[in-house]
Amino acid sequence: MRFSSVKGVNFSGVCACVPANAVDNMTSGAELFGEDIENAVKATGVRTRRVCTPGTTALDLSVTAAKKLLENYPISPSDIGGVLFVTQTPDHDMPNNASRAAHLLGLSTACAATDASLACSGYVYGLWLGALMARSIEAPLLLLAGENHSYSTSPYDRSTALLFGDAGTATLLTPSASEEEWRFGFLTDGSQYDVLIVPEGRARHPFNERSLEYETWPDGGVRRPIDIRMDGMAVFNFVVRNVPGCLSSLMERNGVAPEELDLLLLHQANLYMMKQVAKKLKIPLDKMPVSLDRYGNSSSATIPVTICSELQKNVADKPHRALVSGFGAGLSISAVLMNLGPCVCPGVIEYP
Amino acid sequence: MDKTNAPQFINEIADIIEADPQALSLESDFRESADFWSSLVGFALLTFLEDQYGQVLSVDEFIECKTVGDLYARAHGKGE
Repeated sequence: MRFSSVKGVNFSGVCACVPANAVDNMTSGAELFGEDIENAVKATGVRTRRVCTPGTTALDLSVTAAKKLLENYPISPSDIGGVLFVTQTPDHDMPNNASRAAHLLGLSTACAATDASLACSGYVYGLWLGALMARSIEAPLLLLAGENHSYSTSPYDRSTALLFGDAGTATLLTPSASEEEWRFGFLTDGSQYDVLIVPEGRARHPFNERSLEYETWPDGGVRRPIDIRMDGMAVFNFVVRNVPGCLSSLMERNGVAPEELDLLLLHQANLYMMKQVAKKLKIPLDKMPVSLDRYGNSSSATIPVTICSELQKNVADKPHRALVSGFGAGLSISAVLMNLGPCVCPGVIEYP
Repeated sequence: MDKTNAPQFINEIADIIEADPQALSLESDFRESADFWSSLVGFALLTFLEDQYGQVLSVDEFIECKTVGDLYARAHGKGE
C-alpha cells in the first residue's frame, strides 16, 4: 500500500439522498433467475435497491443531500470554498458535475470545484483529496459522492442485475486545529482494469450505432456494450486476497489492534464478500454496519449511505474509532483509520 | 486417513458456507448445507483449500466433491 497522513480537518456532517423508487429484487429478478431468485438475492445480499426514474441523476441526488446538510449545519453556502464530486456517472462528459453543483448550491464563484473519477474506492479517496483541498484553501469543502449506475446496468445480466442502486451524498469537511490524523492507505492494480468495466462509449471504444444493442457475451451475460461488465470471481479473488492484508498493514503501521476499533465501515459490495473480509480481520460482524440489503451497491456512495442509514444516532454525540475501506473498479483499494463523529447527520432522505 | 482435526475442519467449512457447525458433519453435502450456494462460496472453499492446505483443485475435481468429507480428503492430498 501507499500511505498518507492528513490532519487538521474535521468530518463535520454527512447526508444521503436516494430515489424514492424502491425496486424489490425478488420481483424484478424473477424472470431472469426463475426459481433461483431467492438464492440469488441471498448471494448478493440485496433485497431492495433504489433506482432513479428517467430524468433524475446522481447530481440531483447529491445536491439534494447537500442542501439538507447545509440546512442543518451553521454555515452559509458562500463560506464554502470548494466542491469535490466523486462519480463515474456525471451528467455530462463536459462540464464536470462539481462546477454545476457549486452553482446550484449557491456557492460563490470564489471556489475550487472538480470531479474525481472513482468507483467503489471513491469515498475514501474523496475524504483524502477533500481533506487536502480543504486544508490548502483554508475553507470548508463539500465532498459529494453519487452514482446512477442503474442507467448502465443490464436487467438481463445475472452478474449485475440485482446489485446496483443509485444514491447521492454530501459530506462537509472543515479545517480545524485538531491534531487528529486521518491515516490513509491505497493500492492500485491496473492490470485488472477490465474485470469491472463499461467497455464502450468513451475514447477507447467510441459510442457507435451498435452500442445500444443487447448481445450475449462469452460469459453468458446479455448486455449492451455501454453496460457494466463485471467478472465477479476476479473481483472477489482480488478483494479477499488483498483487502484483509492491506487493512491489517494499515492497522499495524499505526499501532491499532482490531479490538480497538468501534467500526469496520466497508464499501457495500456484496454481503458475503464483506463478511469474509471482516472474518479474516477477526472483527466481529456486529461492528460492521450493513445497508446493502435496502439500498444496493451505489459505488462510491455506499459508505456515506451506510453512515446515514445505520449510524445516524451513533455519530451525533461521540467519536467512534473507525476503519473505513472501499474497493472495486480500477482495480483499486482505499482505506482510512479515523474517528467518525461527533458530526451532523440528517440521515437518508428521498428524492423527489 | 487421520481424522483428528476433522472437527476443526468442519467448523472452518461451516464458517465459509455460513452453515450451523453443529448441523454439519463429514457426511454433509456442502452445497445443500450452505445457507445459499453461489460461485463465490465455491471460490472461497477453493481458496481455503489452497491457502490452508496447499491443495489446488481443478474445476472438475471440485465438481466431484459432494460432501465435507470429500473436501477433507482433498485437503489431505487424497483423491476419491
